[in-house]
Amino acid sequence: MTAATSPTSKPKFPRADSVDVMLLLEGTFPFVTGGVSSWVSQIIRGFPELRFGAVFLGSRPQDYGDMRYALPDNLVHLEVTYLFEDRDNPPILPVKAPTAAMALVENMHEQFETDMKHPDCTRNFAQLMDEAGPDGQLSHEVFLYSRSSWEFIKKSYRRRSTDPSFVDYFWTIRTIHTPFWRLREVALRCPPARIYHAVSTGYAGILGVLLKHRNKRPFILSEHGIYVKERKIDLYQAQWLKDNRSVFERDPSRVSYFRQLWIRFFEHLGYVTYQASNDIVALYEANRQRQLQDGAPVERTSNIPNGIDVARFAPLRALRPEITPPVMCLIGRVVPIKDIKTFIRAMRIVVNHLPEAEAWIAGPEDESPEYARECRDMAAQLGLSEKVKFLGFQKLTDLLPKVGLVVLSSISEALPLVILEGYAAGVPTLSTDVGSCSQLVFGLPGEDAELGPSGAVVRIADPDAMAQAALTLLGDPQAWKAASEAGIKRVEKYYSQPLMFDRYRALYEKNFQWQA
Amino acid sequence: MKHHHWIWAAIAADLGIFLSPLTRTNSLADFFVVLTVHLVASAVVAASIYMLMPRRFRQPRVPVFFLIFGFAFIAPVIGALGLMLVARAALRSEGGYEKFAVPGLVVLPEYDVQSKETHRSSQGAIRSRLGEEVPAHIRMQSLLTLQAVPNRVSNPILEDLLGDSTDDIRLVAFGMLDSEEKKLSIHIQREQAALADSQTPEQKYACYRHLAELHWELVYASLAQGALRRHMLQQALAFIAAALALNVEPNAGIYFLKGRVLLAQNEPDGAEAAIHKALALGQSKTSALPYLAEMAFMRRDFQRVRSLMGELAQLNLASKTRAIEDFWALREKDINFNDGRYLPHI
Repeated sequence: MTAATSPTSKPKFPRADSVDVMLLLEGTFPFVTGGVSSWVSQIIRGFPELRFGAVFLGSRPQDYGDMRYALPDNLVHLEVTYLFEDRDNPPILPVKAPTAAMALVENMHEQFETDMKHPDCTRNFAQLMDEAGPDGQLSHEVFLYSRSSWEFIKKSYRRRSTDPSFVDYFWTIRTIHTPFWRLREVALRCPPARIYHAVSTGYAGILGVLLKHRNKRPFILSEHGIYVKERKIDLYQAQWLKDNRSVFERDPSRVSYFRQLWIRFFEHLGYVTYQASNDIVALYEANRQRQLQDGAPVERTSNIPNGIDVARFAPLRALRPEITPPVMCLIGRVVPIKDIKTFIRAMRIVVNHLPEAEAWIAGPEDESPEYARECRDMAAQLGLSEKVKFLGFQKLTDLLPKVGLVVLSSISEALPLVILEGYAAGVPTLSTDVGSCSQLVFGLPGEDAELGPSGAVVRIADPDAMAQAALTLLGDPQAWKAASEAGIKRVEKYYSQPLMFDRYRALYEKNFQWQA
Repeated sequence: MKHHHWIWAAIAADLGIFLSPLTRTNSLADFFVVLTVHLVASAVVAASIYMLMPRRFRQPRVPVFFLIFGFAFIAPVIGALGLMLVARAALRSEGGYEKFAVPGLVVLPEYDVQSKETHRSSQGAIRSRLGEEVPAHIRMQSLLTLQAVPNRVSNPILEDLLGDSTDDIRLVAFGMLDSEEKKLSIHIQREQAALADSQTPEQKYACYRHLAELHWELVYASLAQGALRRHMLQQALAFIAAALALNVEPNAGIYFLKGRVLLAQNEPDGAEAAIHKALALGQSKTSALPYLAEMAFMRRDFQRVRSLMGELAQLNLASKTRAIEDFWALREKDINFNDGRYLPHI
């Protein structure tokens, strides 16, 4: 696919000459559903007085379907770019790399390796990124075809690589660097904004670093999960990374070189993003601590938890039947990170004790069809075809009055909105002990904790514990009622939408004033 | 008298005789007296020095003795003194050598060639490198090292790590367990599809048997716990029953599997019957007897445990089973649990 035919430049998206806040989004709103996407939509709608723009960064066009969200009226600009789509490289022509620029490249790599905390590191990086274009000193051709670039890759391979394959090293370096030129193209296309606001580090964060450098406008980072951590976990297990070490060189306790290379790459991107951000927002304290550990300057960090529109869900409480239905409902995409299999396994045990119980899985299955099939197979294998229902995407306001428990069996979460929405509708939660779930169920120490538990928390991947907790909550109407009431109070007091909007309003106002 | 006392006495005699007036006369008789005393003194010095020498320097005996004697005889007094110094120096270095040698007496065999599970003893080392007090990067490294360890060993460790407070550790452990489980699930799906397509009873039998083995593997590799484990065992038994219901001549393996599944379900009676059937069909005694002994142990029938262990002793055993067998055969009165052979299986 060539640039001319790529959906990158399709004109169907709104366009504007300038915006107030430019959101930088990687793999989320408006093409992917999920907690972060809902949050983005909520923020845009929450500030109707501001004109928003958004840059969507995806991997390849074929990885996404149609838009999953209706675009709010105040989203006046949408830019869509795929960082790994197949595009023809520029034509091969002799090209000479400017010596000074190559020296800077070398110096920056050296700095990343030995002295990342150097005060100039972030500025050097932003400066070099801004040269990555046809008008700069480091055009894509220079990277692909110049002798100096080839020599530098050779030299780095000799100095650093512990993997014997130069061919793999060469192509890894090419792949890893390609997005930089595409990101700069986007940066050039972006209309001016008063604030750049990324919802993750990684490529979106780096785009923020570049835009701040070019346009001298502030850059805010709001992290839901911790991008670097999630990437690392993926990479530790990725099967596509090669390890060419021979039996003499292989040490099972040493991560293979290409794995390390990719991990370090994302660590560096994360560090640079934190350093360049004017404000760094986490959803809860443990994540803020993790940001500090990864290089976020402490004075720029803060926590702003998610908030929901409690009023939208409050009327549902009256619609609930007298007797709590023995229905455990998992609301979320059917993807491996939600560990739906543990939920199904737990259901096997619940049904042994409570034959009328049912498990509902409400969420789209198209993101990982293979995993969805595995889940269905597992339900059949455990003899639960009648008991486990895959409902697909559902309207929460229709669903919540009919369920007894909102269940989350995820292996990783941040601050899940579905728990809060369940609370607002009077439904307690049974969740795994991930992200801030424990905080949402038991409350933060002090007044919050005194409200009592609004459900139960269990270890990840522990069907036995999950089943026991479900049976306890569903089998004891008084405990259920107490949890339901605690949930309602908790969400009204600490996780309402106005609280979140007020904090973001303050943050935006502060940054509108910012001058470089 | 110790050897060096003899030497000093001989040197004194030698010195005495050479300093005496006898050496300054021209009498032949005096000369023979001096010669005799010097010969005797040299022989005493040589004999004593010979005895002082480290054992490995004493061979061949006669030439060594005469070599020392030669030194003592040719250079009266000085030769003897020199030899004594040499002997002392040799002894000192030898003494150091012996001190080092003592802790070198290792009781653990370096290579346990009979045992298949050479990895087990490293579990403690891995676990200790995964403790919460260990720095994060070392923990992650140790966790990744588990990929090189057999599943049966690594899975229980990974299972423990699912409750870890560090996200990364928990998630990588989960991913590793999940991929193991997925591999088995894929095989199960494949076998179920094959079962649906199978035509002959022989084909069906093979599918049921594989399905039973795969379900058993989920349990054996610690991939199913609690109620789910029970469910998997029931499934395995159901597949075995389905296989046996077919009109196909069963082999020892399926009964042996049935025995192990029943034993895991805590049903020693049924398990015993199945294992006996497996033995009758040709299952090797080496693999079957330990299970029978375990069942007898569960029933607290220690007499039977002993007799089964006696039978086992006749067979060529892996050294780890040998240690258990020794215990029951009362072959070792004082069981030394520090002995490497009794390392408990973690």
